[in-house]
Amino acid sequence: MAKKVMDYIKLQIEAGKANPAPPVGPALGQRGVNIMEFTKAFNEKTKDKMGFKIPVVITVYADRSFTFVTKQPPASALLMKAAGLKKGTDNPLKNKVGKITKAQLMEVVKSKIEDLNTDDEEAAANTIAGSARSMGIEIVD
Amino acid sequence: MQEYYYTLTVRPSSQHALFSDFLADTLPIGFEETGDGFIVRSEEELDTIAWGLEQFNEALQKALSEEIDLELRLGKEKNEDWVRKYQEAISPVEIAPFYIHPSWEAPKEGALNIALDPALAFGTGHHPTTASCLRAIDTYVQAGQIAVDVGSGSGILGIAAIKKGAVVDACDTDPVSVSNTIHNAQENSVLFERVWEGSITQRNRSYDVVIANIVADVLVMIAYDLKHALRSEGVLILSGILDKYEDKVLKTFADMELLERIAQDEWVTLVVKSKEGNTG
Repeated sequence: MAKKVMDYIKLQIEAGKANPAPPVGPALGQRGVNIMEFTKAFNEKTKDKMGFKIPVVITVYADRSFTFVTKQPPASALLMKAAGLKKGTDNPLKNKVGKITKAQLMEVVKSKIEDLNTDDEEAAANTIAGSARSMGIEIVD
Repeated sequence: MQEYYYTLTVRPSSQHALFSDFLADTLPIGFEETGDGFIVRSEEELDTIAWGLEQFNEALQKALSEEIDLELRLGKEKNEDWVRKYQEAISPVEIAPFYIHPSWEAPKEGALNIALDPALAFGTGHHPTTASCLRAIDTYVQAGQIAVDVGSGSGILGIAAIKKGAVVDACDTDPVSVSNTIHNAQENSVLFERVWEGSITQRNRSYDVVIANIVADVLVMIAYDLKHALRSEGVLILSGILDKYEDKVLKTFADMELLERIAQDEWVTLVVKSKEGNTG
């Protein structure tokens, strides 16, 4: 059916925890999006990623119907989970705070590749390895 | 529910991704990304988050040897029952004899009522293309006819045809729309004869009325299949056509007779039938 886009809403919401209170309620309610329908669908779609903030882009159409696309959690969050860390380093040159294996790095790459605008796994791996180093996470064999 | 909620508008001059990571790590539920920054909304006060952002910005500037301007604006707004506020904004639509109302509003006596809540598939009656199609359905769909809703979305047009007494199939290439069509039919206590995920080429019969509210390019692309889905004397309702693409659609369907043109805002609906009683 014909779809005329009225608005895009970009949120980051904890997986499985969307509800009509702030921050979700005002962001969606002010733009005429069916809050209950969104929270139900979002929570169902993200229930396997509990603990992560999930970027989501909601497209609102002229007749107030909507669609949404969820992305993977930020690479930093996936890397910290893989390394078992709560936060990155304050000085990546001096203080290494964790390690992940190359296999773990490639797991993160596989999760993120559709968000990274490339099909090239090696290029994606280099980008994410750079993020890991900047967080003080070493990559080991 | 608290009487107020708090807002924090965050506008860094650069390094948006790092500020986004900081907010994702710090906030319990989430935040909104805007073109130039972020809006944090919470029922808890946000002064501590603002302070944390200032500290983070200071550390970031030192680490990167880069000056970053950070605009922070705290606010306080009246909290609302957001679900109710949303519901109040959705009004019923009357396109006689149809009355499309959200599930929380009462049906109208004497009308062909369709209960439908805006959800994850297009078609709520609030868009000109849906409204024009409903007018065409009222004129061209007769009780006992066989019809199909191609690109059914929410299923509203097929449900309207069922309410007019037709036997109706529906198809959509989007699985969410297929389940929405089935759900909305159940909510309205009507049954589609057959609903499938896929295109009109997967039909197993021909139709008296084919309803296709899609977009001009797709109508042109599937023109052959739409025409051949029609029975002799069958009627094709074509919609989702922006007026600037109308000529292209008319040219593609030039071998058919134009019965009616319904225009609303910049959208056009064309009703055509076979000139020679061509069948599928």
